Amino acid sequence: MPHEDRGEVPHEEEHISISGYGSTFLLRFSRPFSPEEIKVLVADFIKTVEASLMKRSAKGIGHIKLYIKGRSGYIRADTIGSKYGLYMDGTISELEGSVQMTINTIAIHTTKEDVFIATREGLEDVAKRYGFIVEDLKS
Amino acid sequence: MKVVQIAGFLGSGKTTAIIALSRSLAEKGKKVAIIVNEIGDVPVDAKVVSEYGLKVRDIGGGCICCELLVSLAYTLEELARSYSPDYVLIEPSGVSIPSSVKDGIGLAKGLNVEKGPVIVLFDGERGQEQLSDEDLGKFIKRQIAGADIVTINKIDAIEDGAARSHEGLIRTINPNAKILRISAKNGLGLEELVKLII
Repeated sequence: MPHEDRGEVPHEEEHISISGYGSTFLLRFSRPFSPEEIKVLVADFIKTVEASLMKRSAKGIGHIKLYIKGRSGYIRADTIGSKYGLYMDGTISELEGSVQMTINTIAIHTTKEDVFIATREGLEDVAKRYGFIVEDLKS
Repeated sequence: MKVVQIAGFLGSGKTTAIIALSRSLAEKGKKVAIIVNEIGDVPVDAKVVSEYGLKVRDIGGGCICCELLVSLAYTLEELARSYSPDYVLIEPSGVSIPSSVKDGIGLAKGLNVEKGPVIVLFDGERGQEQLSDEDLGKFIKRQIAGADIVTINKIDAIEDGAARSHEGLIRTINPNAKILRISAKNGLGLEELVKLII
């Protein structure tokens, strides 16, 4: 079965309607962000993407995974749905002017288009709220 | 080179488990390599694994149980040539079928490969809810049916009664599998799992 560029790979043998989108971005902050501020931003972003997916009639979150790399370390965050909480850990220890963020959003019973839109719009919303610029590094 | 699958549905804790198992094996003097497969184009899990200083190869943009079966075989061959690991732990995507991944391992040519157990993680928090979904349920049952060992993960987050209920359910799907309770996050039950791998 052909592989789709947008990140959804229809599974050959099963009809479980899983759609995913992943990409890497550079986030340039308007001022240096502390590790705590980055964690708040990450939590807000994941919450925003989940809400957007559920609004678009996704049946549930498969998995939303983030990896953020700064000069002073990394943060890893993931959720299987806000009902189960958000897991976060990492080693970022200093103020960061910019970070690289890699995200994989996987949702259940929704279209790949909706996963793509929910993720990208979530990122734009959070960028406006926290004052940073987003650059695509890989799409 | 012993090859072990750590499979399970999305969010069941495969990456956390594979990191913990790899570190435990390394502490016992074993050389470990990890293959991580993700559905998306970008390898988040592989980046996380590599932060722990572990040897990792990522196969992204598809599922190694079907369209990327040959990529899995090539990656095993490359690891054998370049690194000679004692163990290769494979984290397939959350929508892979373990028995098909086993076929991919068999495609690797000219290697002295020992097929280790197929371990499937069952999500202690969400597993029953997922099993009650018509489509997800059929799929997850198929994953469980292909397991040699089923580990009920996130045991730290559920009551004993829930764990016993999960065990009963798993036994109806796969009466022959060994069932363990673990918490990949805080290490509960992991040493017993490592003993079954070695």
